[in-house]
Amino acid sequence: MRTAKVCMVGAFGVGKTSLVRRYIHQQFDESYHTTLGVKIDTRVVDNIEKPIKLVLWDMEGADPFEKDKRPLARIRSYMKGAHGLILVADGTRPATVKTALGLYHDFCREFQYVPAIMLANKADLTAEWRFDDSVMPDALTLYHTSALNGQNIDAAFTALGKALSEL
Amino acid sequence: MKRVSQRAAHYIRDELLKREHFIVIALDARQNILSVNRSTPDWKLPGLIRGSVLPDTLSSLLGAAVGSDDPVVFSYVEFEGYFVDIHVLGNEASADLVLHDVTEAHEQEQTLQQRAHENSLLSEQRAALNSELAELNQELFLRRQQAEKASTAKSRFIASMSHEFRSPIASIMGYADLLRTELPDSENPLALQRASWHLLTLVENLLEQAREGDESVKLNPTRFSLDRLVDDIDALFRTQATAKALDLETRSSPGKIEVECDELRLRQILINLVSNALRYTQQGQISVHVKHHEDKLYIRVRDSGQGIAAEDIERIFEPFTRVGESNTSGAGLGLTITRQLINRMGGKLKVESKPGVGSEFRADIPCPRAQDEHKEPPQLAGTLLWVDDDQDILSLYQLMLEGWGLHVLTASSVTQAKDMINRHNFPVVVTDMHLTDGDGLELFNYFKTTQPDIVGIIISGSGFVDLPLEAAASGIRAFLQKPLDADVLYTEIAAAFAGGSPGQSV
Repeated sequence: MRTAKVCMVGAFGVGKTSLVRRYIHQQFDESYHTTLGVKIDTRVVDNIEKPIKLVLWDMEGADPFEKDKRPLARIRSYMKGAHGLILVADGTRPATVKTALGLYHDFCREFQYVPAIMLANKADLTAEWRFDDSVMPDALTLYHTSALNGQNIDAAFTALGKALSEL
Repeated sequence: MKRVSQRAAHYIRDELLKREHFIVIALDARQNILSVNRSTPDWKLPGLIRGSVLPDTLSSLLGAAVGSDDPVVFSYVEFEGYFVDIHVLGNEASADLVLHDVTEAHEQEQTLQQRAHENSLLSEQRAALNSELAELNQELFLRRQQAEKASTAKSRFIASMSHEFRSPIASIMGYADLLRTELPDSENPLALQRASWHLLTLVENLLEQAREGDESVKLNPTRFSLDRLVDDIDALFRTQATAKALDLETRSSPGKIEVECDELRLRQILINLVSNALRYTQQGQISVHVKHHEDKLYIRVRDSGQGIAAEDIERIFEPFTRVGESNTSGAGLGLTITRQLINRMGGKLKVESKPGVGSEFRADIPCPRAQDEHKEPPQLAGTLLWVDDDQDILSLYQLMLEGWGLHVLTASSVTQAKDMINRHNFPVVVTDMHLTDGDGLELFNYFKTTQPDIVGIIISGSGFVDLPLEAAASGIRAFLQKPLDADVLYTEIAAAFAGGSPGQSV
């Protein structure tokens, strides 16, 4: 079975760890624990024609206002050799969209094009929702997700797994 | 650090290995673990077994390090419950992984990072709330502006309508007054007066409601006879009271007392209170007492009507509100306006009522006694021009002013007035503000430069409060409001002929 390194990238507090936790363990924790460094986990996507093992790199988040540059340096080193990217933004914080897209463009400039998707997370917070779908580049498929209720998470990871398995 | 001896280098390495946990993993080309060497035996990672394949977690690191000749370091990688810095040495054919336990340092930095992120998220939330608040404030501001515009438009509309009503009412009232003098024993002029006072009060009520809260509205104190005012109220309502078989009793302070306060508004107050009593009283008595004592007027209107429940007392002062039986006529503004007027005049209104027994409205209003006794005004002499596009008004005031000994010429438009001013030498010109082909201010501005000696008086039925200011700015002697009080008109015209100081607007 093929193995693919997939990096979860985005600003801090957007819910990257919660998304992985929901996808791998079907769990959700209300409290916020910031990630420092990287946590690596795996899951096989087997509901597709060519099953694939995703090695998910859940990385620490970048500062959307770039006051602290250290996380960015670490994130860039972790992203090296990634086969796929999951960009994560918080649908209630418009600045986080720019951070996720910035990391994506950095990666494409330095390395090469890889399959990537964008998750606009916290879709359950409808009252505070301020995500503008129209700013998405054509190359990115957008999913409105919620780690709280699981909305679109399996669909998004499966779609990326399928794209990676067909390369 | 510059070159050190081998002995020093070994010493440093040994000290470092004593203090820090390291594991060195040697791999073959297929990522099988050839050996696992620990710096401290107690740091055991069960996933690392000699002869087994490198776990996916670590194997994915190798891919990231491919192609680099220098050691590649991945900081703070979580592995089997520890956080480690992983150093990748060598290449895919033969690699060494050096795992350095940094769990403690990670914990310390993570705590700081967590705090910083939480603060940052709070700041973002605060900024978002502030921006939302700013948007709401902006929206509120726009809505308030719209509401103020609508309110101003409404007030201007009512003020302009009141002008339309006041002119014909003034004409009717003036002629009724003349008829009363000519036919003292006839009931007909009284009926005319009653109807016109009723109409005027309704118009004034509307106007008062339109300018509620407008602090610039001025009172117009004039000198008048208290017993005549009470007689007029009696005359206005006696027929209605008789028709309902009610006993109407009106009483004022004994003697001919002359006072100085806003007569028009005082009449409005009395008419509103007595109308209200008549409306809600089906049998029995209505008494109206107006007394003057130590610079105050004390009004008491008592009825034996249906009365008001205690919980409804405040509601009767709400605009367009009816309490009790709903089959009564009227706009529901009378008591609202009455309290508003009394407050504006510096007075107080109190109500006592018992359902089934009746109500009593008591007001006390500051109103000084007139300084000297009223005398018949002396005859005037001279010629003046009166400009008004209402022929009835022209005839009425022509008749009145000729009674004072003046010679009155009339004009019905700005054009005609200009022509007459150029042909005659008028010391005084009185004009209505709103004429069909222009306005009074325009007329005065026209001859201000050519004939600056002419004394101008403007009369208007408009409720616009800024007009008197405009008139004053144009050098007009007086700005009087319809319906005209004969005494005020006499005073202003006499002063205009005598060249006296300008009077105040009405």
